[in-house]
Amino acid sequence: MTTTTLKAEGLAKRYGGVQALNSVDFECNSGEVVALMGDNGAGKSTLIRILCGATKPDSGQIVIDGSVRVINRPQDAVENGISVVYQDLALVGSMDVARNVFLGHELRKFGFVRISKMREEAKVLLDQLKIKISSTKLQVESLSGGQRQCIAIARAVRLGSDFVLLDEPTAALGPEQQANVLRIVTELRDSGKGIVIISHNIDHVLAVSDRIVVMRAGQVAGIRNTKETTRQEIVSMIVGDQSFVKHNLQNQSTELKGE
Amino acid sequence: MSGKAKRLDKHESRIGRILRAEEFGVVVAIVGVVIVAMSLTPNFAVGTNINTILQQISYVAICAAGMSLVVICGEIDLSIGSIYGLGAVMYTWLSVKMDWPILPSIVVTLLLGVFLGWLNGYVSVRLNIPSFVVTLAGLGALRGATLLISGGVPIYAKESKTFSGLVGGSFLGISAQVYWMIALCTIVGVVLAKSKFGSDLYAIGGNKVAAQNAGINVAKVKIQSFMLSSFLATWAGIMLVGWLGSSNPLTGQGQELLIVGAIAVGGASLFGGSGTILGATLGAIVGGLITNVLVLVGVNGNWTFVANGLLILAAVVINTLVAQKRKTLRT
Ligand SMILES: Nc1ncnc2c1ncn2[C@@H]1O[C@H](COP(=O)(O)OP(=O)(O)O)[C@@H](O)[C@H]1O
Ligand SMILES: [Mg+2]
Repeated sequence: MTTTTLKAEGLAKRYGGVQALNSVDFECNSGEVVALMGDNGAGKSTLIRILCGATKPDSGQIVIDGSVRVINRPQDAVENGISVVYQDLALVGSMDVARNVFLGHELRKFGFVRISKMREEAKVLLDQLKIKISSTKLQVESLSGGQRQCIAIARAVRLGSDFVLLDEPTAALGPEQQANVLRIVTELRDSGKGIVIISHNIDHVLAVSDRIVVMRAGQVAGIRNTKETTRQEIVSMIVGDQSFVKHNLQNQSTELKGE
Repeated sequence: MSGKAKRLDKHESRIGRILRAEEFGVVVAIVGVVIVAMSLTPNFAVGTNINTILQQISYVAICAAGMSLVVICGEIDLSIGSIYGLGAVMYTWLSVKMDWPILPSIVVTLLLGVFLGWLNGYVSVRLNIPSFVVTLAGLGALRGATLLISGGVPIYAKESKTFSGLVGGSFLGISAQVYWMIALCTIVGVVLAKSKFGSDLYAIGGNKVAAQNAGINVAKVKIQSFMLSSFLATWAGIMLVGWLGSSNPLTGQGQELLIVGAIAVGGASLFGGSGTILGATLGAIVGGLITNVLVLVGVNGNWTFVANGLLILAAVVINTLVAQKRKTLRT
């Protein structure tokens, strides 16, 4: 299998007075899981949103296999083989499982949506990913958070993307459901996809990732191969060194007062 | 699972499906009103009366089919009654006052309707102003325009046996309007249930952000729904002229309430994401039945407004309660 590489070079994004991203370089290869870690507000979600075309960077570029790609809209990202699984912004609760798996990319014949064909294919896809849902006719709002997350992932998989980005896919899930999501992440990696996953759970990250990118205050604070690092090292990278922690705490308390 | 259990399961799911169908409530309402009507007035169930009711509500039903698209994607068009009235008056103005032939008058009137739908949609969606505000302004402005164009008086339609036969005649004892209603509601129903456009409408009304993230062009689809809705209302107005033989500048006044009522009674959420054309059509029939019963019983005609207002309120309350109940049952 040939390796594809998704690269971000010199990304910067400013929101009013906040420098959400400050010349960030990032890389993910197909067949690997890259974990993005960092404190709240570190810029992780902003980075993902830029990669999937939901946010435009002020500067910097996205490069896939050495060529610069113009990604201004979510559609552009999908066309370049990048899809994203949002926390809870991916599914329509009032529609059924099959329609959600195919949302925005419905199967059609003579202009008609092929609902039974979509149900069949959705069933096959869910079985492949070992996602247990009794029927693809169920309305999504009747499912558990874990099942919903899995459907959102299934949809990203169906788009046939080389890269799947997940923003905190295990947050707000029970332990069993978390394990299920992580299992799917590893399976996707083994099938050759590149995965970028944001998580605050160091156990999860150590379990599934190949590389850990730690972000702090809009910059990359460090990159480690998962096999060659320790929990302590990652945690200290997330919070910064002692003087940095103190400085940061002061900042946070003034920020809180300001709000 | 044993054979018997499986059968039971299947049986139950069929009943469940009927109970859960969005049209269930409106069917119950129709049955209820019919029972009350038959006990109050013995001549209610006579065939001609049913045809008359369907003929009368056909205009509301056609408008409701169109506006269902707008409501399902989470918007509303309160100017619909004024557009219907403008359609009627514009058509007679062009064909009579301007002395245009009938066909071009119809086409130009329809184009005007589509343009007004686009304008409603564009201002609401692109400029991000709630559609109920934009179309409330439209309700007033377009009624004013209609009064100005007509000079405030009825205009007699140009005679055409063909046209009035097509939209106001009858075939096999059933009025032409009933055929038009069935045909147009079926087409819109199929488009909504089976096309990509219909699918997008449900997705947008259900979760706009998710629809956007899935690459659906939310603004475009919404504006198209306004245009289609307006097109159908304009056509309904033209049809009305073909039947009555004249246009009246007050045609369609208050009709937006009947249309919203039909949609709500039909089981749609006025917050978007759900609803069917069959439901809206049946909802229009409920409204028509109630009006008819009140007339047959001989109460003051103004009670129909009270009845319709209460009907909308009841429908919205019931829809909301049912939706909440469903949610708690599921989780
Ligand atoms: N849409 C936005 N508008 C204004 N500020 C934003 C927006 N998105 C992110 N930010 C700011 O950018 C910084 C980084 O946010 P984010 O990327 O969401 O961090 P993380 O996902 O690492 O918690 C934060 O300070 C946040 O407040
Ligand atoms: Mg975040």
